[in-house]
Amino acid sequence: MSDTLYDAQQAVHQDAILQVVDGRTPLDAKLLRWSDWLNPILVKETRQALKSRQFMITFSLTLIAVLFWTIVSITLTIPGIYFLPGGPALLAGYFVILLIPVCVVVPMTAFRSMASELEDGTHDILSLATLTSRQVVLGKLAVALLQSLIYLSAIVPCIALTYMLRGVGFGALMIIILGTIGLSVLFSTAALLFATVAKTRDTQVLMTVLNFLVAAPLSWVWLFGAFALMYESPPLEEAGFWFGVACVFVFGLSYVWLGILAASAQIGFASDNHSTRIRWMLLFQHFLFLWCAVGISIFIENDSGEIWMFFLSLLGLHWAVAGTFIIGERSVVSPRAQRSLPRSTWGRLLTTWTNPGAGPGYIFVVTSTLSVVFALAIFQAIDWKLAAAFRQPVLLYAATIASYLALYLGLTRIILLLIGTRGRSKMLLSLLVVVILLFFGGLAPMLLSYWASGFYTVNYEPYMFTHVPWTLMELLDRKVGTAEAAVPWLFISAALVFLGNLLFAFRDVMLVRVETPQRVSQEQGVDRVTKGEDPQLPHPLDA
Amino acid sequence: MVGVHTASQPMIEMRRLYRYFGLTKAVNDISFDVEAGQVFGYIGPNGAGKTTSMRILATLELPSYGDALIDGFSSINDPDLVRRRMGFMPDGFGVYPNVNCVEYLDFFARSYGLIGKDRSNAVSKTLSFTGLDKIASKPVKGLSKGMRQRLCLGRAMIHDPKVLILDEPANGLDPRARIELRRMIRQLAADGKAILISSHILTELAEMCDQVGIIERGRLLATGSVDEIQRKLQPHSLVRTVVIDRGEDLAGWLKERTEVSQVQVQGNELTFEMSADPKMQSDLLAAIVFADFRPIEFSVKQQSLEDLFMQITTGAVQ
Repeated sequence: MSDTLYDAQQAVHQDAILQVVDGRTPLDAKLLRWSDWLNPILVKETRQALKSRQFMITFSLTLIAVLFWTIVSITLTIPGIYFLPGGPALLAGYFVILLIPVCVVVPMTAFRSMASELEDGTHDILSLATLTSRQVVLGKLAVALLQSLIYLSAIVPCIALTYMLRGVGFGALMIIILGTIGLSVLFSTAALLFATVAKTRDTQVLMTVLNFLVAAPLSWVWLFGAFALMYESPPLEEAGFWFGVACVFVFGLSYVWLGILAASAQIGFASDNHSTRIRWMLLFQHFLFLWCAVGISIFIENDSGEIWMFFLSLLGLHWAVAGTFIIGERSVVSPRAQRSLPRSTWGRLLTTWTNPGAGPGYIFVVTSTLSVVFALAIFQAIDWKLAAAFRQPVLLYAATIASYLALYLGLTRIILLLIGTRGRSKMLLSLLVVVILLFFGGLAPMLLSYWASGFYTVNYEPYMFTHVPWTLMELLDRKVGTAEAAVPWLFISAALVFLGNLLFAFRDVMLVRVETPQRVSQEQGVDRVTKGEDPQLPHPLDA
Repeated sequence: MVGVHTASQPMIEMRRLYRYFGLTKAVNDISFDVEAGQVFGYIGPNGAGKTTSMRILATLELPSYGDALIDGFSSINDPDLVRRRMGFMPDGFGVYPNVNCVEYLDFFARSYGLIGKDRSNAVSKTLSFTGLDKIASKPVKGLSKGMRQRLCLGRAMIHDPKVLILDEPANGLDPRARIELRRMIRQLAADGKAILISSHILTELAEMCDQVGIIERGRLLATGSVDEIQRKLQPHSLVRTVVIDRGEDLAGWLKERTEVSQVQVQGNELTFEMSADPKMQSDLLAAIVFADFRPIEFSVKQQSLEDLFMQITTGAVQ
C-alpha cells in the first residue's frame, strides 16, 4: 500500500474518532454532550438506523405511498374538492399508510432488535455493562418511538392538508395521531416482551405469530375507531367521552409499563426480585378495572349489573392470565431478593403476598379477587347508591370468578409441586397445566351429562361446576336458580384447594429479610447519597 | 451464601463453586484466589468447566452452590457492584451490524455510565492501547479475528476495571498478535489489575502467568505457580552436573550424601535425584565446590507447563 493511500485511510479513521468522541464542530461537541444524558441504546441504534438499508427503504416507500395517495385522491375528487369537505377521505388513506410502518414495521423491528441481541450473544456482553435490564428495554422502546415519530413526520404535512380541506376537526386529528403512536408503543412493548421469551429460532417464529395475534385484532378495532372519528364528529364536549378516552389511555399506559417490567424481568439478573413490582402493577390494573366499572356505571346510569359483570369478566381474565404465570415462578427466593423483604410486622402483614415465589403469588391472586367480592358484599349491606347494581347475580358472579381462580390455579400449583421444578421457573408448564385442567374440567361433566341422558342431550347439572364458561353463562343469563345448585360445590372445592395451598405457602411466608452486607450498603449508599436519597435501603413499610 | 467483606482481600475469590447441568457436573467444588496485579492462568481441556466458572464469576450465570467474589462483592448477590469492577472477554461474541469500532467502544463507554470527558478519554485511551485507532472507522462486522479480539479486549477494559476475565483471548490469533496481546496483558497486570485468563496455548500462559490452575471434569486439580505445582507433584528434581575431571570421585562423594539418590555417572557427566527445594540444591552446589570438585555445569531439569498439564490431567471428558 502506498504511503499516500495509507495516510488518507488514517485521516478517515482519525476523522471518525473525532466525530464520535469529541465532535467535528462546536455544535457537534454540544450535541454529543447532550447525548450523554440519553439512553445509550437509543444513541447506538439511531446511529445504526441511519446506516440501515431496511429503514431507508421503508421510509422511502412511505414517502412514495403518501405522494401517490395525495395525487390519486385529489385527482379523483376534483372538482368536488372545491365545494365539499374532502378531508376525511384523504385522511383515511394517510392513516392506513401510516398504520403499516408504525404498527407493523416498527414493532417487528423492535422484535428483531431484541431477538437478535439474545440470539447473537450481544445481550450477554451488554448485560455486563452497568445498564439495567429496564434501561435496555426502555432504550429499545425509545428507538421504536423515535422511528414512529420519523414515519409520522413524513405524513404530517399531508395531515395538515386534510385539515385545510375541511371535514376533520383538530381534536379528532390529535386523537387519531396520538392513538396511532400510542398503539405503536403498545405493540412495540408487546414485541419486545415476546422477543425476550424467544431464545431460539423456533420460539421466535412462534412468538412472531403470537405477536401478530395480539396486534391484528387491536389494529382492526383502532382502524374502525379512527374511521368513526374521521367521518363522525366525536362528542368532544361530553365528559363521558373523555372519561372513556382517559380509561383507554391509562389502561394502555399501564399495560406498556407492565410489558416493560415483564420484559426486564425476562432479561434481568436471575437472582433479582422481579416479582414484587409486577404484582403491584397488576394490583393497580385491578383497581383500574373497578374504577372504570364505577365510572361507566355512573355515566351510563345503568343499574342492571351488566356493566359490572362485563368488567368482572375482564378482571377474572386479567387475574387468570397473570395468575397462570405467577404460579409458575421459581420457588427459591435468592438472598439478594430477600434483602428487599419487609422487616416490620405491618410490612410483613401487608406485603408478604407480593414477595417473589409461586406460593405467595397464588394467595395474592386469589385474595385480590376475593377483595372485590367482599367490597361488593359490603356495598350491598350498607345499601350505598351504587349498590343498586349489585343485585345477587353480580355478587354471585364475582364469587364464582374468585372461586374458579382459587380452584384451577390452586390445582395447577399442587400439580407443579408434585412434578417438582427444582427451583426453576416453569411458566410455560404452568400455562399448559391450566389449559389441560380447563379442557378436562369442561369436557368431563359434559360427557357425564351426555351419558346420563342416554346419549341424547347435554344439560346443565350441579356437577357442571367445573365447566367455567357454561357456569358463567348461566349466571350471566340470570339463571341463578339453575346455577345455585352448582356453585356451592364450586365454593367448597375452591375453599379446600385454597386451604391446601395456604399450607404449601407456609414456608414462603416464613421467609425473613436478609440484611445487606455493610460494604454493599456503603457502596450503594454512596450512589444514593449523590441522588439525594437515604443511604440505607429500608422497605417502604419499615420506615 | 453471602459474601464476607473484609478490608484486605483477594480481587478474585472462588468459594466452593458448583454448577450442575442435569447430571453433568460442569463445575465441581472449585476454590482459588487471585490477588491484585497477578495473572492467573486457567488451564484445562475442552469441556473442563473453565468457561462456565468464568461466566459465573462474570455474573452471566448462577452457580448451583458456592459463591464467586470480585473485590469482595458477590457475583450472585451484588452483580451490579461486580460489573463496575470487572471486564469480561468471552471466547466468542456477537457484534452489531452497521457499527464501526469507535462507535462500538463509545456505546459501551456510555453503557458503563461514562459521560463527557470521562467518556471521550476512555474511548481515546482504549483505541490507542489496543491499536484500534488505526482502523477506527472500519465496520465491526468486517474485522479480522485478531482485530475482533482486540476490540473485545478494548470493550472489556473501557471502564478501567480492577479485574479482567479473559476466556481464550489468544484463540485464532497470528504469532504477532499473540505477542502483542501478551504484552498488553502484562502491562495491565503491571497497572495493578487482577487477570484471570484461560488458554489452550500453554507455553504462552507459562510466560505471562504468576499462578495457574489446572481444571479437568469440573475439578481443580492443582493451583499455584508452575514451580510450586512441580514441587508438589515431584518432591525430587533430576539434577545434571558436569565436572572438568574426577567424575567417578564425585559420584562416590554424592552417594554418601543422604539428600542425593539415583546417582548415575558417564565420564565427567553425572545425573542424580535430590530434593526439589532450591535452597538444598544451592547448598549442594556450594558443597561440591567446597570439596574441590570443579563443576562447569549444574542444572535442574525443569518441567514445562505442558509436561505438568499432561502429567496432571487424564484427558477424560464428561
